[in-house]
Amino acid sequence: MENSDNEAVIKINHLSFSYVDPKTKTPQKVLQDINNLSINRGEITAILGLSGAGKSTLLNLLAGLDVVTEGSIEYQFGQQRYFAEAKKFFKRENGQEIPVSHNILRENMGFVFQTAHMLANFDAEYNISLPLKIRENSSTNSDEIDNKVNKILKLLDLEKERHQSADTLSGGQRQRVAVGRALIHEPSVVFSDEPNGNLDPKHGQDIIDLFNRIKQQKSVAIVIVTHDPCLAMACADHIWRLVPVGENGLPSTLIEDRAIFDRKAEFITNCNQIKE
Amino acid sequence: MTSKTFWEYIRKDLFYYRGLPEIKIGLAGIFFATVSLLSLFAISSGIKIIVDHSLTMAKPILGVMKATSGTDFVLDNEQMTFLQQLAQQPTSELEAVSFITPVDFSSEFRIWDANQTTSLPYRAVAVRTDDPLLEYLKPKSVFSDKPHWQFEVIVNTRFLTELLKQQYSGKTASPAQLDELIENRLEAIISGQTPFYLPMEPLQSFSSSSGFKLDFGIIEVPVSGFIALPDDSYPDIWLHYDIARALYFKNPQQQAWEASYAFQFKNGQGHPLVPYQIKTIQQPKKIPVLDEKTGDLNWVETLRETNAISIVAQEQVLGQATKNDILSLPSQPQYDDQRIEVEHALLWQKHYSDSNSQARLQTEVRQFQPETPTDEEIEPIQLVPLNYTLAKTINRINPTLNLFIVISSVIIIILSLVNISLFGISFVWGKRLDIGILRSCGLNELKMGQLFLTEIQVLIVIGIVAGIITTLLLISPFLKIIVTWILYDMGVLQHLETKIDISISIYDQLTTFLLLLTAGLLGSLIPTFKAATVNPIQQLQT
Repeated sequence: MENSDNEAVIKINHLSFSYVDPKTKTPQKVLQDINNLSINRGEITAILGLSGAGKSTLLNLLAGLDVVTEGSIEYQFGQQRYFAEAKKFFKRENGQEIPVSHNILRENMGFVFQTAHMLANFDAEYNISLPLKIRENSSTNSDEIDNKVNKILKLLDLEKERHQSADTLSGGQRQRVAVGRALIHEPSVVFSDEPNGNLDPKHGQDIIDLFNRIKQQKSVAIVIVTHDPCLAMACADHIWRLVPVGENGLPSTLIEDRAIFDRKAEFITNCNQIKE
Repeated sequence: MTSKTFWEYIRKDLFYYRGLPEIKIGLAGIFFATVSLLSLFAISSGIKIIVDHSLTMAKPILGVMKATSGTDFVLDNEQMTFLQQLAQQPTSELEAVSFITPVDFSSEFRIWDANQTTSLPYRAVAVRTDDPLLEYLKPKSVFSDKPHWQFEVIVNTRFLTELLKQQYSGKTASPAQLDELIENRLEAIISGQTPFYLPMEPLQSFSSSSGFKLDFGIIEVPVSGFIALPDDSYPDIWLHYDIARALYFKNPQQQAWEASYAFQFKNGQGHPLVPYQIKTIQQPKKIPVLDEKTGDLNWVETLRETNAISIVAQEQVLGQATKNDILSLPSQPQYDDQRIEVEHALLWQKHYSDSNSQARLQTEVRQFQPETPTDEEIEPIQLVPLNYTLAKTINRINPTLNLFIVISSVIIIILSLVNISLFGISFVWGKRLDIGILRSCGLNELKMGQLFLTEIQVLIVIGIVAGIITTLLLISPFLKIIVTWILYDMGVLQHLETKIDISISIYDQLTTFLLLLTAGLLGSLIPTFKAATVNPIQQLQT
């Protein structure tokens, strides 16, 4: 399944993370030595983990919302490489570290969450185009925005609903709008946290199909964070599992679960049975 | 984000919003804060009109009142008559006048002593414009409860001479004899051997439809001192009154006594000082009779009937005034006439600008009483202070009123601030998901803060403008009716002859707008800051 030709967008090297428990005031290690994780453009990487295993922490670190203290994360956005390590975020030029804003991450990432939150007062089209509107400046061509929105609406099969108010869309439609919103600004990577968690099996399958369609365009890396092996199995090219290495469930580390692919047929059968 | 997109977002977000009841409640809160603040301004403007009008129209209970031009102060007929009787001068020449106001409005205000511990009885002093006592009174404004000179008549010897001439005119005596008579009499009077009573005008007569009539008649006032002032420009009779509140029998059906200008002399405690009875007395009197045969002037002893003042013991009437106590006159001066005279003479001397006149006066005083008492020996004349006026009293109320308005405003502003803060917090709380979406879509903290601050401010402005319009169109006329009705009911308006105008000036509107907007700005800063710094992923994962 792995396509080594695909360009790595994110690479994690020996990443560990601790936070200070606000109740006990003691440091609590959540992630320990996550290494060699490579998230590639045109692939879907699933991160499987139970609740409390540190999925959200990992997502926050990748999105730059938590500061990397141990280990490092490398980002490759276009031709530029960025590094998050030792509480810094920087790029290297001529061997020198030049600090850069975390906004770079936001600009090159899209997010899809379990609940597809919408700006309820706005229509589907506005919700999808929101990242572009936010990034809009005086030199932005509005036709360009329209073209991108049309393209995404077509991809999402939401052309009919484009002027429908977000709060009147169905759950599946909302999730598709959320995906569209994550893709519209052509990010390098889309993080999806339990993307079909709130959907019925049919709409859940729609989202899986949608991710597969996006994958085929090979323009974006998709990271699905989930506790659902069925979802991971249905679309992922790589499955990484957050496994506890400590006594009380923490810290966790991430290991690539290649063995699971060997049982893919068995999984898919079971998953279909569950859906039915 | 371009400004077009920025405002498009705000427009769609605020005006198509279907959720957040907090917005409606918050708007209602701002609306009512605006209405309350403006109403407060409106009511205070109405009260200010009353106070200002009262100050203009106030008839001072006590103190110096400038009435030189006649435009500064409007006297009603009753007051005019009273003043003219009292000073026998046109009102325009009266500079320092004080008197009791005829309206009940005045009784709303009590007059306090300097320490504001004791409520003082009403007092008034009427003197002429050029009376040197005015100069004397100003620094000596210490109120004393001791009985003092309530009524004092000082007569210029020139006047006395003229008066005697009148009395003796037509008598059958030769001019030389008459001159001798007059001179002897003058000497006897000035030296105090013969008491001299000056007949005074009747103060005021009262009559009612029921036939009740009160007539004081002519009273004879003992002259307490004399002074020889050759200057014609100077008055011949000096009157110093200390007038306390008086009563008159206005309503015979109800047997009610009411305040009037008929005055009664009282001591510092407000008791009638010296009750009197006017009775006819017979005074032994020598009448010069010309013997037609011999041509000699013979003195015939006879009895002259005259109205005299009978002084009743003071202890007997320390109580509520009755119909019979309408008018009282003071006791004799506590100190001897000579000293008073000298004292006054010396007081007056500084009013002679040229040194010659001053020297002449001093000489005359020394001739009269060579041993001029030193300053220490001169017992100061106790006179009521002139520094309590209705205007001052109202001025004392004014800051209280202003303080009330300021405190009320501060309370309303604090309430508005709290309300707007709560509104901001609930607004941000209600939109936390939108914040997450916007932030995860790349909106930076600064723009986020700007967006929410603008949204909150737009809502606040809408609330304030709605409040202002509603107050101007609906609340203000309603307040006018209410305030007018209440004040009319309180009996304030009847006396003031002014209309209440509840007005909300553009200045008040602007103040309200800026105060509440600032409160809103301050109140919404924290929630907006929180909104801007929230972790969008955590927000959306909830």
